[in-house]
Amino acid sequence: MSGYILETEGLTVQFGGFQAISNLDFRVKKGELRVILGPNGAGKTTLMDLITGKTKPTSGTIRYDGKDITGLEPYETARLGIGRKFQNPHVFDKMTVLENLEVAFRGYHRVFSALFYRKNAEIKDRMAEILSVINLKDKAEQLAANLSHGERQWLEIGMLLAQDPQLIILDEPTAGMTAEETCKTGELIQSVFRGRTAIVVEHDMAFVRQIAQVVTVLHQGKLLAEGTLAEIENNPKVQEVYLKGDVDA
Amino acid sequence: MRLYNQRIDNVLAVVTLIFLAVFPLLASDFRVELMGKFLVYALFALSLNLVWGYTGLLSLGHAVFFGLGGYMLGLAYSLQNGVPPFMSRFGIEEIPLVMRPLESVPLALLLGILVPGVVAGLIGYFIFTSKVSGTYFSIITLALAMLFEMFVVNMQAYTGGFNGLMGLPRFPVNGEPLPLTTYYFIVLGVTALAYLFTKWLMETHFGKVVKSIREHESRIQFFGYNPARFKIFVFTVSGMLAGLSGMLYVPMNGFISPQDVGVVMSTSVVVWLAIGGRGTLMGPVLGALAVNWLSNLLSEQYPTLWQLFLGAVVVLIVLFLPNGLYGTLEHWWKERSLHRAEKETKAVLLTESKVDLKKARWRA
Repeated sequence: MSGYILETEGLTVQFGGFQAISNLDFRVKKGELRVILGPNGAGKTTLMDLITGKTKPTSGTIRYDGKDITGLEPYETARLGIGRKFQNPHVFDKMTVLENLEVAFRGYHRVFSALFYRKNAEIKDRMAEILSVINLKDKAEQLAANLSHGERQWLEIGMLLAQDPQLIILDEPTAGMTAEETCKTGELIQSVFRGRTAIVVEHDMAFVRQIAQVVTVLHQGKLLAEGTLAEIENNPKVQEVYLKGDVDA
Repeated sequence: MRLYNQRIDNVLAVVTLIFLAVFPLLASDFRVELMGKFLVYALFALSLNLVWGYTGLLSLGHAVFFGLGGYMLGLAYSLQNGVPPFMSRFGIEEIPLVMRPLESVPLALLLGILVPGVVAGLIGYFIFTSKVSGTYFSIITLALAMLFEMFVVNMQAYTGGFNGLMGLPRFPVNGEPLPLTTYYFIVLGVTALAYLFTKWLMETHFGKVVKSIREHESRIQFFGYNPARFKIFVFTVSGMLAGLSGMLYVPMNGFISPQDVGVVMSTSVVVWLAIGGRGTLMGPVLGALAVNWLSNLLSEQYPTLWQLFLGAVVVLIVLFLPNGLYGTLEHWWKERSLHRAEKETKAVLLTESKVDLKKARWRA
């Protein structure tokens, strides 16, 4: 084994005449916490869509844990252990917090296993544990629609925990959060997802500083630079396209 | 909160059941027969509720499954005395091979559930695996209802055509038709069982998945669910329930015609559900019973104006109570109990803080 949980080779996707991702070779090691940076339109979200199967590549391959997952449907990549959190929290508004977690729970994907699923003690314990981790124990029976924005973000992180994926993709997990909530989310990500691999797309530099180990910078669908945050910040190419504003200031 | 929610559902279900159970003792045979028919409609509405109410798929052709069930039993009764007149009129002297199984009523009863189930499963398979959804799903099902109605009318030699099947007996056992009240209680029992089945199904994990498909279909895929499978299954189960209601309709009504299986019937059930409250347990039952009673009363009082009046009621409810009558009631009940619970916790906190204050003073 290569030690990489995720590898893309020559990954290209074209929308009409526009190449959102072009010939991208991208690798993530098992257990790594990778941050992806890039200006708007760099192809960050498209890359996430490609990995989870929401978008199909025009050419190139994606390998997850040694298996070729190119062209699989989202529910298939999810069953293999890839979990995703969206930019705007995608929770089920008209269901209670607890129901949201239950639906996300791993292992009852088939129609018949869903029909004859019984909530056993183990599942109940796990639910209670997740509820206290995401700080929503008191609101377990409330509809998700009644939660605040930050709480919804946490609920979605809780749903990811219930799903128990090996590779976690977080698309701007702190969007719309206060500084305090952001910091708390950073701690949450570092503690609860330990031992798993995470790919985080984020703009908030304070947050990136808090969590980043290795940073990848995308620009116009291509890999621009890769390294530690310090290396990235001193990279002249990156300064030119992304940190320009900071340099000028 | 959940406790209060359970209570209003259960309380209303029990009250309705008691009312319907004593109804035959108080009302004339004419009214009992009407109520029996409306109960069948309630069962039909329960079947659509699974698809539209809980899964968010607006089927505008559900009468196809109702009709398939109804015609299975209707044809079975028509074939009991050899070749029926509507066939012999076209020179058919022998019962066609395809219809032979319907000579046996018990087999027809089974087919009346299985055939709509299989048809719904196939339609569901083609529609949902090709990812047709939303308005397109509604349009396709509407077209199916029109096709089916035309099919029944045009296959006059085999279905009785436009006139439908008439003179159907009330569920004869050993050649004797059942008394009206007995048959009424059978319908009531089956509807109650179907209600409990819906309740069970929507409380399982399957029910939660289906509701999350209604909320956000693309999201649920990222948790490993294939929404197409779930939709096909729920559509099939709903088709079978609709077939069952169609079968119960035939002995109660005494005849079945293409009007009962096409666009008019398909849209009527949508209206009952919208008024009662889709996606709730009692909504379909109360909606079907209330709308049909109301239209019946109105048609007796104002033979020419009643449909206009009913139309106005429908428009008003859809505009101002989008959750339907029962849905609004349930929502209000939930809010109220939530407020009450909040007040109680606040009161507890207040007394606790007073106690703290007293203690503090004591110490001082």
